[in-house]
Amino acid sequence: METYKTITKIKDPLITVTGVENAMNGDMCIINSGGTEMLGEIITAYGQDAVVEAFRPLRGLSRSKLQVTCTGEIFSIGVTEHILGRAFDGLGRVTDGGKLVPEKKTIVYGSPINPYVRDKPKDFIETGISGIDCLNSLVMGQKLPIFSGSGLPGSDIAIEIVKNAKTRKDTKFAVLFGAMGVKDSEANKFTDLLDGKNGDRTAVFINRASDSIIERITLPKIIMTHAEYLAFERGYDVLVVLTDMLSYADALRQLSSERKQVPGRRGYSSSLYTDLATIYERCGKIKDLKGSITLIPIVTMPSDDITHPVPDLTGYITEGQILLSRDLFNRKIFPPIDVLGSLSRLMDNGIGKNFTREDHRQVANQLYFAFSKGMDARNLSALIGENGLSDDDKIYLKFLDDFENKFIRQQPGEPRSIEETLDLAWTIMKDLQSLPRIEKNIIEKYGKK
Amino acid sequence: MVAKVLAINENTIIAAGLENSHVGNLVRIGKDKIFGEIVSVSGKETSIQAYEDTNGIRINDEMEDLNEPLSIELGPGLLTNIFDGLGRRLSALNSNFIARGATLISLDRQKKWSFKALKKKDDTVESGDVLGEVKETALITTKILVPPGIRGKIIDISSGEFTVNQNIAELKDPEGNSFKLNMIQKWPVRMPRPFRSKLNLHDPLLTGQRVFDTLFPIAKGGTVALPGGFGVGKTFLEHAFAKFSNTDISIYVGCGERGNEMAEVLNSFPSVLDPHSGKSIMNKMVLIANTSNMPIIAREASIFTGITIAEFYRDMGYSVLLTADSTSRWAEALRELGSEMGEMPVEEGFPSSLFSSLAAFYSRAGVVDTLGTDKKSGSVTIIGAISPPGGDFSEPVTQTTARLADSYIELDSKLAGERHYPPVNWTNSYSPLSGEIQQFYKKNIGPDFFTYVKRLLDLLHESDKINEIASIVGREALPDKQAAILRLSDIAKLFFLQQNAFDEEDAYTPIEITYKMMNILTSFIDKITSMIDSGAKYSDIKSNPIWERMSDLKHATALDKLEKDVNALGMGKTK
Ligand SMILES: Nc1ncnc2c1ncn2[C@@H]1O[C@H](COP(=O)(O)OP(=O)(O)OP(=O)(O)O)[C@@H](O)[C@H]1O
Ligand SMILES: [Mg+2]
Repeated sequence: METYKTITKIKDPLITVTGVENAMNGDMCIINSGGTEMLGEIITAYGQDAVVEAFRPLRGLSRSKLQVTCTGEIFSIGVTEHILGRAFDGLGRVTDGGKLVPEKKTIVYGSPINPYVRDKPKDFIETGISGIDCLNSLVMGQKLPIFSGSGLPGSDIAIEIVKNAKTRKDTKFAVLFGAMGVKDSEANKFTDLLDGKNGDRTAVFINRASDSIIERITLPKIIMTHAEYLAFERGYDVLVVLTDMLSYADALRQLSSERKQVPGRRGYSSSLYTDLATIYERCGKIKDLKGSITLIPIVTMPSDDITHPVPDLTGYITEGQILLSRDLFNRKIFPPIDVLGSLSRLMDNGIGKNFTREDHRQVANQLYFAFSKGMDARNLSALIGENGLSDDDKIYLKFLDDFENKFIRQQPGEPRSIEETLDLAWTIMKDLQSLPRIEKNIIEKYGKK
Repeated sequence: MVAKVLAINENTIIAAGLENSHVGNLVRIGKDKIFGEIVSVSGKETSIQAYEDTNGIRINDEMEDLNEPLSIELGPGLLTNIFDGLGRRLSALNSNFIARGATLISLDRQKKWSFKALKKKDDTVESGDVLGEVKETALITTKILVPPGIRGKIIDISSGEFTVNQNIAELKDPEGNSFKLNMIQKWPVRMPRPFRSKLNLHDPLLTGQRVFDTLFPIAKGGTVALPGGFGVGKTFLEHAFAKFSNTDISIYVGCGERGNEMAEVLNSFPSVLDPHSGKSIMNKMVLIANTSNMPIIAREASIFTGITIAEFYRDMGYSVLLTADSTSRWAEALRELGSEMGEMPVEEGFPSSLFSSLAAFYSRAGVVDTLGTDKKSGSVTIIGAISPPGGDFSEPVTQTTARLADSYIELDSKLAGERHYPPVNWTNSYSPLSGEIQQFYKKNIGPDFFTYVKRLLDLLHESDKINEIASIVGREALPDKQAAILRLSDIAKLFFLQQNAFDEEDAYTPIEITYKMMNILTSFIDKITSMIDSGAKYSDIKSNPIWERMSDLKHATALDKLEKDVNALGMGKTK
């Protein structure tokens, strides 16, 4: 460790230090100014000069009091199973007052999983939400974002999932929840998750709106590093929930403008795709290992615009999306899942006889089929009035009503098991004259209950 | 003087002591020996792009100039295997995570191949001539060629069991130089492999995807741009092309895409049978995987690694399909490189060299007469997926590729939203065919093939116009003829254009069956329209069971019966 007082330039958040011997790219530095300490990282080095990026704002610090110590280590954190039940900040420091003894230190940047050893995602994670579990099932090792809009309840759905998600096998299950750029009023809702019924299998990482933006950017890396340890070294099936990726990307945008990088679409750096990918791609399963990492990122779409760079690039990396509907939201339906706009691309790897129930695929197909019939009927009735509808159309209209109000709609705190969800689906399909997407023997077995 | 690191900024490293090195040379840097490539030399300072993460590299770290450009080892052992963007065989890394600095070895050095010599001592050979062959997989016999730039008289050659790096032959050229040859050809990936001459495109590439084989046919040796927003089905299509196309070899490049998709390929492809030979398609496949979280400079290389392997098999006289998913990620790597190199961004941050870079890739497709005296011709076809930001086709990569590629197939988010897969937009897509290929279709498939195609396209365009009207007045309010046309186009979409990749029978359709389906479909269209034209009421014919029966189009075994029933329509009975 070397300490330098030779600061030649400060331009928040960058400090230029001169006289550095063999500066190391990525070196973690301790920045000290009259007793206050913060972390920083060498991001550029030229000869004897090193540029350190501070993790907190440098405002008000004077150059004469500053000193920078290079630790000679790449940004690492302590990992252990004991993070479960605990609360952290965006840099991975404990914020609940207690102590935590790490098992070992791990570099936060991770390495790409060798594609050759990747196992394909399979097996079901139950979120407790019918609109997801039945129609857009989440599979272990998958990344499935929730596209929300301003005012839409993306975070509330996230909280429901963190509380209620479970696997159907007797495996070790952990949920890591990361909140970036959240209002103080929301932050408590998130820490309260630790006191709830599944608090001891959960860890929360919170970066408040008032916290440093660099810590907003480090948070997902820290969480994914813990997730990799729990999954691939301790055999956990890990579910990571991150909210809100828009805040993350906005922090990144601010930083890249401070670094004077050329802005791309809507001012975001042209490397945003790669940035997001280095978080999202850490999900998955590995052939010879037990655990898995599954990710649900919540992404707010500004002005409900799905082509905005953050949801757009997210969609290009993830395996499907859960889209929220403003229309359902305005009609007070929670969770407002837009059935036609949502798709879980890996669903078939996680449902059916071995994972959920044998009727699952067919029930989902039938619901889609009836749903679109219902929508046709609804559109027609808007044109010609409900009285003009055929009897058949009236039945589908009624179905659509039940579908939205009984099946999609769910009270917070009342998760449904996948059996309950499928049984409910059969109930709302009761009045349909025919079920062309379901085989006879399945109707016999499940439809007559 | 030892070369040393002067400066580090993200992936760019400035070095001293390499002023005599060549641009393009590979270097290894620091104690982890990470790989990099020299991108410019100016004065005493040399600029290097690292292929791997630069964290941990120090100022004054030593570096070594390998004195050769990024190259891939070509030879037996490529097929059935998966490589990263730099050509490293991923199964040989023996690790769950990709560590930095792993050496660039593509071919298995232990495996023995049974080499059968086809030339003998004292034969005179030149570049491209076949010295012998190796049965590389159950499907493919790999020819061992005299490497480009070498010719002479064979002074030694023998059949037998050899590893790739054991000598199989020795040549002496007229100047008296002798060359010992093994089965490896190391080739710089950015340099096109030489051939004798380019030929016209004369063979169709049959994909088994109906909308392609009929409305937008592809030629062997052609280039196809395949743009589409996220989730529209680009990857599914690329997988289908890679699996079912009638080319000898199939190279799949996952460029800046998902690790899980590569896992899916590795998991599912081995059990997929090649419809043309009945053997596992892995026998004809090479996979290149650069996932989106791998270093971006290696992503840039992955496309060239893929195309070089494609040319290697082309040079043996094979037809090769290269599917690249997604070329946008590659172009973005070029953009990143350009901006680190201080190139002026012109449009959406892309450097002005975007056109020439894309051209450098696409121009490596084509049908060629290969080198060698033994007259072989081979082809490389490129189908490149494009991921336009926000699904907006006016962006530079889509537009630039459209200018370079022979075919432009637009995938439509709206169709995909209606679960119409593959969502090929029939208005904006085009795929012009050479006269030779049209002749091929007419001669080998059916003389009226293109008449049917035109009939179908006309119907689709007409129904689009009617749909616009219907969206205002409602479908119920349409006149008879228009209502019938809408229903006919629904049939064409549902049972002909749409193809469900999850359904084993539907996923691939041989061209003869496609032709038959199209034949039945167009006679059905003709029958119905002429019935209406001659005064029949749509309300009278709309409940004819034949409409429902049209779903049989998708079942090859039901086609004969369906054809009869369609032909009988309107005959004898009154309307
Ligand atoms: N031919 C098809 N048959 C049935 N389903 C399909 C077909 N093509 C696409 N799909 C559906 O669409 C989903 C997305 O397809 P795909 O992964 O090919 O999209 P993409 O265009 O490559 O998206 P991205 O740009 O995000 O990679 C698939 O998971 C599948 O559910
Ligand atoms: Mg894709």
